[in-house]
Amino acid sequence: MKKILLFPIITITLFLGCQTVIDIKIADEPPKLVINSTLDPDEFIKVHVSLDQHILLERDYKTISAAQVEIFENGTLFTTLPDSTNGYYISATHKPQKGKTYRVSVSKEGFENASAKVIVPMESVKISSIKMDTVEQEGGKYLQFSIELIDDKDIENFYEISILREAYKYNYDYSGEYPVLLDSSLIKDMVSLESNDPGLEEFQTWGTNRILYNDDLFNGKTYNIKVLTSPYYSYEFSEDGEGKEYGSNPKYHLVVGNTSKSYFSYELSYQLQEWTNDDPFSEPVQVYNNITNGYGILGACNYSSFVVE
Amino acid sequence: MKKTIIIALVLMCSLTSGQGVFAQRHTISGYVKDKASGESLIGANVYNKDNYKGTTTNTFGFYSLTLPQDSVTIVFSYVGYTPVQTTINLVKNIELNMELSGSIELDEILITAEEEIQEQTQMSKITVPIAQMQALPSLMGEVDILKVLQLLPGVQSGTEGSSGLYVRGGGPDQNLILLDGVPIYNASHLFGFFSVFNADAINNVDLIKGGFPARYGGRLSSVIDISMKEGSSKKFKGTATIGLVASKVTLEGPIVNEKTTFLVSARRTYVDVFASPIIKATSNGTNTGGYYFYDLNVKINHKFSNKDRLYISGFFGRDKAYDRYSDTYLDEMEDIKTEYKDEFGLNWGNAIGAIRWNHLFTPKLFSNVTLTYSQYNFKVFENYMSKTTKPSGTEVDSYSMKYTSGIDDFAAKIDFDFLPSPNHYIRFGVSGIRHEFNPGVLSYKENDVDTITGSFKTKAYEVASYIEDDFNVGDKLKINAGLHFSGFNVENQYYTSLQPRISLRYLHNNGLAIKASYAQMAQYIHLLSNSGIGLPTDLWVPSTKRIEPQSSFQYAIGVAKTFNRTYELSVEGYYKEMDNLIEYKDGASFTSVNKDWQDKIEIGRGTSYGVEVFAQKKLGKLTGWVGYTLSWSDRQFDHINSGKSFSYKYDRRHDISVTSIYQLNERVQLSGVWVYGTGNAVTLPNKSYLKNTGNNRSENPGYYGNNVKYYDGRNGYRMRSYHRLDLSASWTKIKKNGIRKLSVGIYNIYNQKNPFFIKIDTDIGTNKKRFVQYSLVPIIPYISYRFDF
Repeated sequence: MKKILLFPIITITLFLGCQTVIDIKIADEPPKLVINSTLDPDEFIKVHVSLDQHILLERDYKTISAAQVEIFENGTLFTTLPDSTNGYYISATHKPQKGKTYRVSVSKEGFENASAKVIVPMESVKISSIKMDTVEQEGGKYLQFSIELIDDKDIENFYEISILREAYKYNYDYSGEYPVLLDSSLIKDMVSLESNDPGLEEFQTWGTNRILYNDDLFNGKTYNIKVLTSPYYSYEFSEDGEGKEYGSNPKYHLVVGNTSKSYFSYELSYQLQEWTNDDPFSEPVQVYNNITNGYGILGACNYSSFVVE
Repeated sequence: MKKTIIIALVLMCSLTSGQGVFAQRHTISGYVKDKASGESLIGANVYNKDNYKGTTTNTFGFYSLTLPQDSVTIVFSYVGYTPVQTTINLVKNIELNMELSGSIELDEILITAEEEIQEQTQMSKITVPIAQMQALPSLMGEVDILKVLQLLPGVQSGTEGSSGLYVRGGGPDQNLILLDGVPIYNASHLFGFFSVFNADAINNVDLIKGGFPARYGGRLSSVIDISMKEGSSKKFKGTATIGLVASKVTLEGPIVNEKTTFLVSARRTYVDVFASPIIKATSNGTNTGGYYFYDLNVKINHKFSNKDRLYISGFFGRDKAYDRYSDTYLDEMEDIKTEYKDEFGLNWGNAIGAIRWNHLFTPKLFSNVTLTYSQYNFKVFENYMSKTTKPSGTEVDSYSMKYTSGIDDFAAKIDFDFLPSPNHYIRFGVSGIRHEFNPGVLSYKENDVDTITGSFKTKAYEVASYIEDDFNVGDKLKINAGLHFSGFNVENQYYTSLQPRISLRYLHNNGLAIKASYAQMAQYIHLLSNSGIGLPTDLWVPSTKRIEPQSSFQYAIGVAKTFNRTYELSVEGYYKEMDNLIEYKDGASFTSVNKDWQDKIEIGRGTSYGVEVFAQKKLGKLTGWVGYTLSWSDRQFDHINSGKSFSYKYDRRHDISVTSIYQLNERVQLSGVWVYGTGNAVTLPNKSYLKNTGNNRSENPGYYGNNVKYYDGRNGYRMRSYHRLDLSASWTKIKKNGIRKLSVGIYNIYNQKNPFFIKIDTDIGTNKKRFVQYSLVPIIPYISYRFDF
């Protein structure tokens, strides 16, 4: 609604007001290391290292190769990650463990050493039931996932819910008169979610693909969260070039994570930054950052995945 | 105990007055009014010519002067009026009402002013005469009281074109805006571009920025005390004005000669009258829409006797914006007819009413009882319906939504003015307010299913009492000392506050007044605003168990002097701290009605300090002022900007305003305003970096972009400085049946592109990102025609 109210003002300003391209002297500070990593006990440790850049630069972010990326587990060197491609450093042997503290240290000549610490959550999410229904809302049909969580009252829990849909990705050749199917592959595609849950901020209620909760509203209780997504429709081109719509019943993977507080804060603040991006009257949102001498996030998450059909 | 207090008061009065307790004394009292209109002259001087001891009239024009039995010469004066002196053989109490005539030459400007600045104990107070406000250039020709106040030192204007007031680093909610003693909660029309006050209906405007006398309370940063005209007691008269944006008419006059008077003033914009048919024509008749605002001031006064007067006043103002769509779709092949109707509207405004009864218990004791009602409400609604008629039957799909918020106040107060001698002006009183807050309720109905969400209505009760004395200690030192006590009850939570106030003035032999003040303030209501531009959606909310009242203290010190009764100079420095300020959390807004507003805010504190210089020329062909403010204003919230202090958005290091009015001859008047201000503090990103894509087994990273913007602190950048020149000219002609005045003017004459907001966008040609500043108000000429009859 705020956007409805602000719309006339912004519109008048944009169309009737004057635009002036201005120089604002943004200090061209030396870049810092950017570390992005989410530790998952089921996955080998993977860290991405890149550099920040001036806000007006459009180019791809520079990735860092040949950096020394060390992982410490409860204060002791756990492993040193080998350099993979495109800024990735991936262990082939080491996975993080629940309840342990990990520190990532990245050093590269010419830059300040950057580091961050995180505790991998002890528990996975306890789910007592998952249900999928088709519901009608605001004149449209939606798939509704009802997820019943059992929250541990002694731990401050942070949850992430996302839904992956198994769907074929079709590659067409559009160069001719009619598109020609080249090949297809089955991928897990993250779907856009909506929810009316009272525990959510407005910016989380629609158009997001990661719904984040903390347990403020249901600490130590069983809580039923309902999330909605649009049903899956696909198009297939027939020989005459006309699009033909058909519905299908793909397989859904409900991925529920018990995340570290740092991961939760990062994702939530990022979603809020995106939400307020086009509103000149909102105060800009600073995305949470837990990297010392750098930017990015070292998060941790215990994921549980459930197939829903 | 009671006797001890009375004895102490009597002793204090006698000691500070320098008079014998048992000298025979009598009181001269009455009202001072304008001879032509019968309007009260507020703040007129009444003094004994022999020793210059005297008093000033209060907001009702009443004065009381108690002097020893003697033959005394009393002078009545008011700048811009011919002083009147009269010699009285004072052997008993005397009632003496005085009417003063305007003293101006025809080619001079009528600038009235109260007691000279060095005489007043009060500091940080400025009165801008209505005539001066009406003479200055204005946006689209609409005289705007609040925009004139923005030209005074210590008052910032917020964003371009808005009527918001930011006084000495305070927020717009910290201004107690009183219209005939009734608080106005939303003082602007058209999203803040015009204020609700119609200058034709206003008699006097006082702005107090610090050194608050104990009689005022409930807000931290300023008091804007606006008195409506009472209506001419002499003859029926009126004013009609036609402008580009709005037209207005004011009628006033006696109902019963010298006993009962009335005033009615109405204003309405008419852009919608022209826009609506254009919208309809361009949409083939499917759409209509428009926007307008109106306001209405009404006042009736009745004088029962010289001891009893009754004032009934009301103000009603409303903004309305609407958009209606209606269309029919006919599918002849299938014999299906579908009708669509959609209506969207915004509607907000104030309604206030006041009944005030003046009673004179004795010539020394004046009382005023006030009963008031003040309401502000905001509504946004949408009604949608589609009706599909098929051969098989009819289907109706409907949806309606309504969001309302607002505040309702009922208040009662009694104030006493007790003037035992020329050396004491004692004021005391009590008041009570019943607030009802509606901090946002959303109701929607979809196909007959009702849903209501939002915060609950909350009732709260506020009480206050005060006592203050403006007294002389010898010939040079004058003190206004007082205590303001207030209490607030909400949801069984009680808050109380005892606020000491003191102002001192020391008058040096050369006429230079040295002034100092200290004031503590408390505020039990908060304004939730996340636009900073005064949207009608800003929510008034009470202090609660979780959200404590705002509080502040302010020190000020300064000097003031008047030169040749023509020039006035004041220099003041101030330091203010504010606590329990509220702000929306990052990105939160009033629209998330599924959360209580208390969950959406942060609590913090603020500091502001600065120096203000105000030089004014009050008499002659050329009048006007130069104001300069050097100031700092910071905020600190534990969960904003990593807990570090940051510049307030409207922290303005330098602020200059120059106003001038030149009476070229008896017919032609020229005026100009130039303002300059350091740019507002804004938050801009300085870096970006790659977004973490997570590790949750998706083969598609998601729908958002892949970069994070990094902000190096809140409000770390400055927009470009703001400056603007406005000019106007008016031609007045006395006609047989009235006075005609034609005004033309140009706002922002050199078309300065002042910053409204800054965005990053991408240049289509070069495909490079850049900062783009958007400006709102370009050069705008205006014309208006006024006729006084």
